[in-house]
Amino acid sequence: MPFLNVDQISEWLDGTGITLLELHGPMGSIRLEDRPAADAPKAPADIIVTSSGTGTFRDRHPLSAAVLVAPGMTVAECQIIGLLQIGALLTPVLAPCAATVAGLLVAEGEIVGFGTKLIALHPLTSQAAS
Amino acid sequence: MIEILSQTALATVQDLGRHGALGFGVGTSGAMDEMALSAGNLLLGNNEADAAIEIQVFPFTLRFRQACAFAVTGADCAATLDERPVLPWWSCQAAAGQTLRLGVPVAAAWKASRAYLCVAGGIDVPAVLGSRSTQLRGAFGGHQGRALQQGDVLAVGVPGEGLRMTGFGLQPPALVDRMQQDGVPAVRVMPAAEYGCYTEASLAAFWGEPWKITPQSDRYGYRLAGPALSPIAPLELRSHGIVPGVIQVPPGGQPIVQMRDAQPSGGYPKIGTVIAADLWRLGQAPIGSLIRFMRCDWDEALAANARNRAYLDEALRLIGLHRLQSGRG
Amino acid sequence: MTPTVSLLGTTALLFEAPGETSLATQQRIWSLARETQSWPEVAEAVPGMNNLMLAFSQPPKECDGLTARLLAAWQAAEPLALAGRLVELPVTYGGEAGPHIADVIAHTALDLDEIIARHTAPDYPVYAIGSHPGYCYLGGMDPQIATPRRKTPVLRLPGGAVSIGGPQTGVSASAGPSGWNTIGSTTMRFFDPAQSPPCLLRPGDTIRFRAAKVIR
Repeated sequence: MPFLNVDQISEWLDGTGITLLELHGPMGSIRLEDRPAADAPKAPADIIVTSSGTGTFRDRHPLSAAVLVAPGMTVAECQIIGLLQIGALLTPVLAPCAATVAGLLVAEGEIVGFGTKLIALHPLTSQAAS
Repeated sequence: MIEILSQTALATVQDLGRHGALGFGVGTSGAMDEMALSAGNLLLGNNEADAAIEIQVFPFTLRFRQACAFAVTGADCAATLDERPVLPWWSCQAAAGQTLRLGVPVAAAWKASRAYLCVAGGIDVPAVLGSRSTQLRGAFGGHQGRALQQGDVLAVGVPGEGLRMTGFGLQPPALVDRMQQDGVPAVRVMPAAEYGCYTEASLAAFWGEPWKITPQSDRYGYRLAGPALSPIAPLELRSHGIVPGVIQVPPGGQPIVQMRDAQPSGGYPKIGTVIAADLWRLGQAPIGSLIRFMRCDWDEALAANARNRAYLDEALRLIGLHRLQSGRG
Repeated sequence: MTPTVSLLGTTALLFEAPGETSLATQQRIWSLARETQSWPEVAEAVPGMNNLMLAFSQPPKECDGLTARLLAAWQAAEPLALAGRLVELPVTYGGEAGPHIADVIAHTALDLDEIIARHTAPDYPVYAIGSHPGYCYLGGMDPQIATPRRKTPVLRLPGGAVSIGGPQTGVSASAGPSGWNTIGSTTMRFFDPAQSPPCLLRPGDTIRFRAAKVIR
């Protein structure tokens, strides 16, 4: 069903006092509502980085005392934010995009499986990232 | 090609050593920590015995003149590639023109003193008498038979078929098997021929006391400080073959552990031999640190050899699996 | 008297022949080295001064069998008379060339000329190569000039140093540490890794020292 250009209408409505617009026509209806800012999820959703396999989660390199990431830290795309250990092998947990670290969801030394949630990230918006 | 940028001392090209030339008076040389060198090579799809650069004095800086996969094993040197941190014991990719800097070893989980810069394809210097290790005494092998200097340019070999990817690592064996006695790093020792020639008090001190690695310690041998070891009667021996790990006691009573550049024969009395399986641990012990000796027998020493072998075999297996699973075998 | 067999960790085994050091015993050691070199456990059989080190290719599961075989092979070993070349080395004795000559004089109670006379008189058979590339262990030194090894090894002795350690004498082929007493110096190239074999001298050759110069 062809729709009017919703983005264009939204733009026109911005700055007016109109909070609700309903259009009914032979082709269908459209409802545009201007919700208060508090309810609007303006920021992109948290990304949860999950484990790609079974192993032991490491929040730091075994030789190091310092953790790889901590909540609040900014990370770049493909940055190593954790490690997965299988026997003597260490594989990286990588940030899928530029982000700030929201929190670690597993503890250092915890055994994880495929899909276990490891780290929560707030992706950086393109303005913030640049 | 790799270009050495920093003024440096005591960095040499080493592999797993030169064997079969003892009869010419040529000792084995080779990496002080052969486990680190082997592991670095496995991370890069190299032969275990491919040549690498052993670094003992830090900071150490080099430039990759060509794109090159590499790994820094041994001590954690807070390494950076173009000032961005790279993990230790981890395979990395350098682009042409990038600079690698190894800082002073960070003594967190493991106090180590030597690092190994391994490259895919190995360091390409001519093999002399079957090895690329540097024979400092006699000045042959490695890079012109000498320690590396600022401005030296080293060739890198052609990477093997095995290498398709980087970005994974290994847990160092030092963390797998911690060897300590009363909180002091320890190595296992088998008694040697003149063991029974020493006084009870000397033997008790040998096993019971910590020994300090003095500043007069290097790739030739570690001079230890501690109680004087006294023979029951003065000993004067004929020259005989020795190997790295042999603990000699000169008349002064302070033991010297022969290390990788040890001469292949000597005449001082031998109280014991650090077992081959633990030489890498001693090779990483820093100047000024303490070491303890733990007595072991033949079977225990063989088992220790087997355990080292198992670590490397398992590492190779896991790396192979990881490559397959990542779809870039 | 029986030989002694001992271990150097799991890397090598050491066989020590009984009795006084002699050329006849060394010839049997050469024979034993030739025999054991072909054994599967042995990577290299390395003669020393009336002794033999067997560097393992793979350490055996237990050593008793190997030790028994070795003792039997020694019993059966016939002297191997290796006939070699005679090489004369010109030596500068004393002064800066012989920094420890004073210790030899003090220990032996002989003067410089007597020590030189006794050092240059014999023909020295090359018993073994060891210590460092191209270094020859020599037999036949006059026991009158024997001087114990130094209490603390010297960190750097130059190549060409002619030294006495206990009852033995030898010439350094390159610079390095040593516990011996240096009495003189010679110029001679003993080792070239580009050559095959790389050593200029081998067991069975003979060295003679000639006093080319004496620094008082």
